[in-house]
Amino acid sequence: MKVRVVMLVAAAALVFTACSGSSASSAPKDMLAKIKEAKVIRVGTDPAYPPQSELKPDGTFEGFDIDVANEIAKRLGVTAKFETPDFSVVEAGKWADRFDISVGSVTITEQRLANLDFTEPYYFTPAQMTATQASGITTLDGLAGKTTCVGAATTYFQWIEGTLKLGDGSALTPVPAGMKSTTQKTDQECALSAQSGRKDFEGWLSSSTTVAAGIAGGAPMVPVGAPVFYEPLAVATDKSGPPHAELQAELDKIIKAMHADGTLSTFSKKWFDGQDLTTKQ
Amino acid sequence: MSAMPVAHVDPFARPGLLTPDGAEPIVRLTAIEKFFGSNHVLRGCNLEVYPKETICLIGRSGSGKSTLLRCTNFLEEPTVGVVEVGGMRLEADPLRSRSRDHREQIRQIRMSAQMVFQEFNLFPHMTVIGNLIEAPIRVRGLKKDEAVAIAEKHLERVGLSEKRDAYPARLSGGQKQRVAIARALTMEPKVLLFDEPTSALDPTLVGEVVTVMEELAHTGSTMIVVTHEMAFAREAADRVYFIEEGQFIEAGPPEKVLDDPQDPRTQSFLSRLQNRI
Amino acid sequence: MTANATLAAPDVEPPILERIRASQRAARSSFRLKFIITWALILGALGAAIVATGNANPEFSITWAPYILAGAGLTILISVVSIFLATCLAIIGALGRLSSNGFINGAASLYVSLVRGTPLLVQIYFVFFALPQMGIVLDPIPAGIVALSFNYGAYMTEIFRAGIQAVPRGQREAAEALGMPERQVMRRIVLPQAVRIVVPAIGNDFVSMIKDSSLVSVVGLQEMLWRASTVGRSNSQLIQALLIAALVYWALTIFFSFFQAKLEQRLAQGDVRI
Repeated sequence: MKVRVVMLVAAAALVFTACSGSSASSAPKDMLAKIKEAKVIRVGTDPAYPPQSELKPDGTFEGFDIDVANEIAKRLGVTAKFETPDFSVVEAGKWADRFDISVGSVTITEQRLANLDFTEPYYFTPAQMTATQASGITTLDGLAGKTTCVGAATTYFQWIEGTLKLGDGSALTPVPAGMKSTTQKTDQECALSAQSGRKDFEGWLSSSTTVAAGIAGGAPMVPVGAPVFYEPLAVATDKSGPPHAELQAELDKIIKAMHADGTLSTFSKKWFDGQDLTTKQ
Repeated sequence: MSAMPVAHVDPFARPGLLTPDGAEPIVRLTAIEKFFGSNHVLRGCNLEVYPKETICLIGRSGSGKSTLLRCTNFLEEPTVGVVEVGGMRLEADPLRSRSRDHREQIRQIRMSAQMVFQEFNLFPHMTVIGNLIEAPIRVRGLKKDEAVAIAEKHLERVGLSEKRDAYPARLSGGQKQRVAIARALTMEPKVLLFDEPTSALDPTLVGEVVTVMEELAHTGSTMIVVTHEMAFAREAADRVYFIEEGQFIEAGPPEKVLDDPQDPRTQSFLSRLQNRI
Repeated sequence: MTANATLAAPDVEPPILERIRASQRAARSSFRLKFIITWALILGALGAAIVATGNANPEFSITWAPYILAGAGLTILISVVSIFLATCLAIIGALGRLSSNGFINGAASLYVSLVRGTPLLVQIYFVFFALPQMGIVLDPIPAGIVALSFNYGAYMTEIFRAGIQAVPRGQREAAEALGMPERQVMRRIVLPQAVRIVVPAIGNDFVSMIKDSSLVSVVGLQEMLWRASTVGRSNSQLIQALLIAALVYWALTIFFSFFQAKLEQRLAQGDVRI
C-alpha cells in the first residue's frame, strides 16, 4: 500500500516537471509570426466605457477603441477577436498569453511600464474633475480637504495619492491640499453613487469622455476647473508574455501611419463629438 | 467439514441431539479474552459447538455474552485467543488486525458464520429480495438467478414470500427480523449467530421470530443464540451457558441449568429474570 | 367510540369526522391564501419602489434583456458541470478524510483546509493566471469550471464526510458480517445511504454555485452578471440591468429547487412508513 502511494507521488512529480520543462524548451517564436499564422489577433477590451468601447444588443462591440483595434488588425492582415478581461487583470500584466494586445485606452505610467510594453500613444484624454451639484463647489481649490471618488487602479486614483508618473513625463496639476480618495470598482459606479443620492464624496475624477457620458446619463455633477492632466493612451502588450519585439515594432509603425494619414483623427472626430484628441495638448 | 485438533477445551461440550455420529465440533473458541481499554470484559472463555447443535448464551447485560458472540465473527477482535469455524482457524492478533491477510481470513470466517442482529440492520435502500441476494452475488460470486432461487426458498421458509419486493420500511419489526434471518440463511453458512434477536421487538411480535428460530433449530441448523427468551432455550437448545463477568459459570442442558441451577450466581440471575415477568 | 356509533352500521362514519376534514381543508386554503398574498404584497411593494426611483426603464429592458438572458446559458453550463465535478471530488475527499492511511488523510485534509480557507476569487485568478506559469494552460471556460469545482468540492467534502458518518453503524456491521470487503461496504451500502442524507445540502450548494459562477467574469467569461454589469454601466442603467440579471438568477434557482425536491422525494421512496 505504501509502495503504491510513493510510486504515485513520484509519477506525479515527473509529469509536473515534464510539463513545466516543455514550455521553457519550446522554440521561441515572435508573437507577430504567431498572430499572422493564426490570422487572428486577440484584443482585450472593456465594453462598459462608451464611446471607447460599448456593447451592441447583438453582443458585438463598437466604439473608438474598437475601430482602432479593427484597423490595426486590418493593417496586420488579420482579424481582431475581442476578449473581455477585467481592467485590473490587464493593468497587472502577466496575462499568461490569454490575449495578445490591449486596445483599451490604457494610460502609460511609469509603474505600468514595469509590467506592460506600450506603443506610442494613439490619443490623449484630459482628466476632468467634477463636483456634485449638492456640494455647490465650482472651483478645483474648493475640493481641498474633500473626498473624491475614482475608479480602482486608475490613473485618477494615483493622481490623488500622489503616485502618478505619466510615461511621457507630462506635467500634473497639483492636488488640492488634503484631498482624500474613495474608490469604486469602476469609474461609472462613482456616477451611479452620486445619482442615487449617496453623499460619500464631493468630487468625481475621470477622463473627460467618461465624465461627459456620465453627466449625459443623469449624474448630478458639474465639471470644475481645467483638466488636471492629459493622459497618453496607448496599445499595451504583456512584458512577461511570449517574445514580442517584432510585434511591438510593427504596432508602432502602424500607429505612426494611422496618425500620419489621418485615420486616427477621423475616428476621434467620429466618436468624441467632433474633437480631435489624437495630438498632445 | 475438515479435521480439527481433537484436544477439547470446553468441559461442558458434548454432541447435540441431531449431531451426526463421530462428528467433531464445528466451532471452537479457545481462551478468548477481550479488553475494552482497561475493562476486562472476557476473561478466558472456551466454547465448542457441534454440528446441528443449538447453544444459548445467557447472562445479565455487561456480562460479555454479546462480546463473545461478536468475537466469533471478529466484529470484535479478541485481545487473546483462537477462533475456529468450519475448519478455518484464526488467532486473535490485535497488533496486526489491519493487515490484508488477517482481514481476508476474517472475511472467510464471516462467510461461514452469519449473524442476525438485535437491530435487524436491513439495508433500507434495497428491497427485501435485494437485501437477500446482495452478498451471495457480490461476496460468494453466485449468478443472479441462482441467488434469487436460494433467496426465495429461504424467504418462504420464514413465511414472507409475499413481501419479496417490499422495502424494509414497510415491514413490521417481526417481519424485518425474519427477513434478516432469511438474509443470513441465503449465504448458506455453517453456523448462525443470533445477538439478542428479539430484544428490540414489541412483545406481540416476538412469537413469530421465535417460531422461525425453533424451526431452524429442529431442522438441524447449527446456532449460537444470545437471548433472554428462556422459553426458546427450553424448547430448542441442546445446551445453555450462563456467563457472568466474562467467564462461563455454569453450562448444560436447559432443564438442568434453568430449572436446577447449581451455582448461586446462576440462581440469583434466573430468579431476578423470572421476577421481572 | 360513542354508544351511537356502536349501534349504527359499522361503515357509517360519525358526522364529526367530515366536519374535521372540512375544517382542515379550510385551514390549508387559508394558509395558502395568506402565503400568496404576502408574496404578492412584498414583491409588489418592491416593484413599486423600483419604478418610483426611476429604475424601471422598459425601453432599456426590451433592448438589452435578450442579451443579458443569453448569458444564462453559460451560467447554467458552468454551474451544472462544476457541481457534478465537485460532487466527485467531495466523495473522494470524504473517503480521504476518513482514511486511516496517513498520506491519503493528510492530502485530503490539506485540500479541505486550504481551499476552504482562501477566497474563491483568489482561486479563480490562480487557475487562470498562475497555472499557465507552471505549464498548465486552460481555456477560460474549463478554467472557470476547474476553479469552481475545486472550491465547492472542498466544502462538500465535509458535508459528505458528515453524511457518511451519519449512516448508522449497524449498517456497516451488517455488511461486514455478510463478508463484504471494505470497498464494497462503502460503495453498495454506506455511500448510497450517505448520498440520500446529503442531497438537501448539495441542492443548497448548487443554488449557491449558480450565483458564485458570476465570479468567473473577472477572467473574461461573458456570463450573465458580466453582461448585465457592462451593459448597465455603459448606459447609466446599472441598477436596472442588475435587476434583470437578479430576476433571471431567481428564476433559475426556483427551477432547480423544484428539481431538487423531486429528487429528494424519489430517493425517499424507501423511507415511506406503513
